[in-house]
Amino acid sequence: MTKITINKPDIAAVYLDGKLINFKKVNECYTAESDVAGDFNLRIVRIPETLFKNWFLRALVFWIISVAGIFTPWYDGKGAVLNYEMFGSAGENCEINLNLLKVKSKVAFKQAVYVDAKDINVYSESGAAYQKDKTAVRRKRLYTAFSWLMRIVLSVLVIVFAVI
Amino acid sequence: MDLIKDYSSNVTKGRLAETLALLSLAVVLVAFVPVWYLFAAAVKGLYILVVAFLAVVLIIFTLGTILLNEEFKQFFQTIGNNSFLVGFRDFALKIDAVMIYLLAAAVLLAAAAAFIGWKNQDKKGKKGKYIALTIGGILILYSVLYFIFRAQIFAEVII
Repeated sequence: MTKITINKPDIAAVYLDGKLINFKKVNECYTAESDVAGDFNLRIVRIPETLFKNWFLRALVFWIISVAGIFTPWYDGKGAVLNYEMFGSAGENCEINLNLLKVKSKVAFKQAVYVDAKDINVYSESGAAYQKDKTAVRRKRLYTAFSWLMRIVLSVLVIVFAVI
Repeated sequence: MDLIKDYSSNVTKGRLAETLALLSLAVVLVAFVPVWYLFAAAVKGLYILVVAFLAVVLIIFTLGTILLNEEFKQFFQTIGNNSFLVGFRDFALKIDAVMIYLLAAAVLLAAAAAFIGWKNQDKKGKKGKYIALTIGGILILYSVLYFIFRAQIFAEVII
């Protein structure tokens, strides 16, 4: 049985052998258990929504549903991508303690993932720092510009129709 | 890649849950405009009314044109002719007529948000779920209090 703990489960999605891990809060600590044994693949993923497939279509749908984009969460403007991957072999009493840094942290773009593992033989690991994706930043700016332009157009139309 | 597809699906569902929860909150705020009016009139404070009005003006702009086109026009006309408070009162009375439908819409939106966000792993999904459950709880409490007071008034009138 593999025990995994994490400091903050909201920062990124954690996958063990391709399965999303559901952390539960137990005594001020977020914990999950997995029956993985032997060779395993651990991935920690955080991708800005502006990098998803059909991102503009999705954003447009949410803009309409959320009344001109007012009642929907903001999109990530920093364009921080985290794609940590670790290959290893787990023993019987394996424990993985994950410590993730938020994007706001000053050193997050140097190293954001800290792994403290017990009874594990790590073969390789990569992508422990956030990478700034310029496309995501550019798309976020494009969305913001589009959103404000459409809000102005909509406000003018509403005022015109309300007065006439 | 399946993992990325799974991740994007999870995040999109999370966004949908929070969006629906925030919409539900907005509809509740609009539905309670008559209560705001009563509160503002009771304390005779125009400042509270102005702040409340500014907070919902954008929602009213959109919902007003969709739901209450004629009433919305009249509301703007009353501002020109009468005092601000009187105009707001008229509008509050008109909202009062559709309050039950607005509250029903808010409940449906909150239920949808809670359903989508229930098993969602994303931050936004969890937030949406908690907002929806809070709104649901407040509305249940409000309904209970409303029926208790109505029953009390009814009993007094009958007796």
